[in-house]
Amino acid sequence: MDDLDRRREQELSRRALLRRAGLGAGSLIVLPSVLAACGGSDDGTSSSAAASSAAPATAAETAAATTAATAAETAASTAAETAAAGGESAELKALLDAITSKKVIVGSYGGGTEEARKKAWWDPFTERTGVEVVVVDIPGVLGDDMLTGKIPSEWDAFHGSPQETQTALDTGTKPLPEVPVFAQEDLFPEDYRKYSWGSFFLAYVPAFMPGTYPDDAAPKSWADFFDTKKFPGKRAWPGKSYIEGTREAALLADGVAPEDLYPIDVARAHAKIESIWDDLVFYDEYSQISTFLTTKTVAMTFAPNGIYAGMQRKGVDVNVVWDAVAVLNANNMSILPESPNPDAIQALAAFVAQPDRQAEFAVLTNYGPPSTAAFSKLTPEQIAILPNNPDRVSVTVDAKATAAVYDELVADNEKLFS
Amino acid sequence: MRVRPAGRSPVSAEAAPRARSRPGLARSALGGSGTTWLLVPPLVFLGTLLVVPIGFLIWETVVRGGFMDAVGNETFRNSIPRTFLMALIVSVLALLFGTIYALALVIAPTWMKVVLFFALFTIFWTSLLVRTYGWILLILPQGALYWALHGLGLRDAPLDIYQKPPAPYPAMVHVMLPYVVLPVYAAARSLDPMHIRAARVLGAKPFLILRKVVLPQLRPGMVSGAILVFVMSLGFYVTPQLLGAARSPMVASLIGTYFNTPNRAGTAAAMSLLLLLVVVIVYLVADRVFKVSEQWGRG
Repeated sequence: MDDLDRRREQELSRRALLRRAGLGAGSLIVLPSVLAACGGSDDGTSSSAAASSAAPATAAETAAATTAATAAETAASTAAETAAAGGESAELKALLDAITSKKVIVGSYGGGTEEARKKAWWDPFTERTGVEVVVVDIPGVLGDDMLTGKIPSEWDAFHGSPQETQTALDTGTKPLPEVPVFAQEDLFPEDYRKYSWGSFFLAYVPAFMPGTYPDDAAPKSWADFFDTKKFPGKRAWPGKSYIEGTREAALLADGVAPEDLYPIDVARAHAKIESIWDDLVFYDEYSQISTFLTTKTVAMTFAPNGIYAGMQRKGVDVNVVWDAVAVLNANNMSILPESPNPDAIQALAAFVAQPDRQAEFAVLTNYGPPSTAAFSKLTPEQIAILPNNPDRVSVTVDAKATAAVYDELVADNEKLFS
Repeated sequence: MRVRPAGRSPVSAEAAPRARSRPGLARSALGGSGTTWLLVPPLVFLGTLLVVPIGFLIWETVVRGGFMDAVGNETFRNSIPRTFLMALIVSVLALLFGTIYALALVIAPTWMKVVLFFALFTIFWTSLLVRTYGWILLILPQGALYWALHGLGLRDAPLDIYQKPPAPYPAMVHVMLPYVVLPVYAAARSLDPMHIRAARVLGAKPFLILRKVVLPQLRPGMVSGAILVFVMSLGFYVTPQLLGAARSPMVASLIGTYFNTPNRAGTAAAMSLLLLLVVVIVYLVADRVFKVSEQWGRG
């Protein structure tokens, strides 16, 4: 009897222990889930502005530094060879030899453009000077905040645009540093020439996958892009954060001549976009565009030509509608005010301005070079497919005009997306 | 009839210990010198990672005058009921599926239990972005779901779910499932099979047993899981942003957009604080009504 009683007591206490342990373990499991919940749901501040990541989405990444090359490995002899063969001007040589900083920090949006910059610009620069080029991801609008002087500059330069330079000129609190005169790009919009280096022209053009439409009845213009009856299928359109180029494309589709685009008729563009709203699929990151095309989610896309070039480089065939009036926009690298390594960034800007460096970048990305000297380094076939090929019908986004109505455009975009 | 012990000993017995243990509240509570220092890490954690960022948000709102902007913004005002509705629907659905899953975990044979647990923790430990992208690939017009339906001959025209309002719901329930399953499972494990056996012996049908015996005992777990899912869904960013309609943004999407627009950081900060305020209010109300904090305390 005693044994039985004792055994039963042990069983009961074991069950009670298990019950408490189960509850405790269950709650313990829930605790990290609470912590994970705090981490999981605010993972939203992905650097989605103007190009890659976002998302989105994306995941919350602040500055992620990647080193471009190890200076220690490059032999001094290679550096001398490059200098001799590259035909450096005396001014450039002087700038390059005068660098005392160990590194230079550049903000970028990553993607194919950044890969091309690394290959055409950063690696050769590091080989020539031994200075490390540290590339940093741009989260949100941090670059603009540094350019306008809202926060002190942690980087030396970042991937910007004439619109952002104009905003900084209008509202900035610190004077913008200037690029060396001999390195300024002659094709870049005049007002921003002295503040830009490493620039390129991208073209917003429509594109579709081969086989979507019969060859003899293929879309040829922006009007065709906006005609969902004649060319059925969904259209990929930039999401709420991107406005560049959209209003120009809508107005061109509505029949406005390229010369009459500015000042932008915001209401007319709004109505045109609204007319195909139900067929629009939106992307927040440029990387979604190739997914939409290849998964047949959309029939046609509105995107910068570099995206299509990237797809073609990977072996995916895309029909780019170059017959449509290309909406050109210039992108640049902007030197930030009061940056940590001013001597290095001046030298880098001048180094990148060399015609052969610009030509290599243009070939890698299919973006247009900003100086006529670079065209002389390219073959006619290469020039033919460039966005700013002189023979192409195109219209360049007017940075001043768009900056002047920027608030109105943002408000209109809000209305459109509500 | 209540039996009273002789004398006033119960009263005096209670009064005496309290009078005796005045010195060192912490000492008596934690039973020893120096253990108060154990409070320092969590307080520092709380201070630097919670109080300071919220302080920054408040400063940002006040300095940049975002509050009026936020409240006056029509898109923001429209997004609030939408977000509430979404959170409510997701909570109810997650609760339903989560309870079923948790009960399955309890009653399944061992091999199935292992499979179910593995599946659950795979959901839990896979990156949120990867899960969301998986759902995107599923519901694309010509995505995986279409491929299956088309292959079975059930559908010809491409699907039209992607970037439409109902799209985020399945994905969000999928993401939130572990947060309901785990508390409910913890409660379900403490179910006494004797109760169920007794009910059956007394002649109850299975559904009645479920209603009157099982669910009331699961209630604390269900409530804490549902509240957790509701509060998390209110602030959920990635999944509704990537899967939902562009014209039906949730509050979190709007906050994200405004933070990425130049010169609107104050508005975004104000919206974040308003969202935080709503979440705190919801939790306090839930605590009052459902006694949620007791559930945490018990474990």
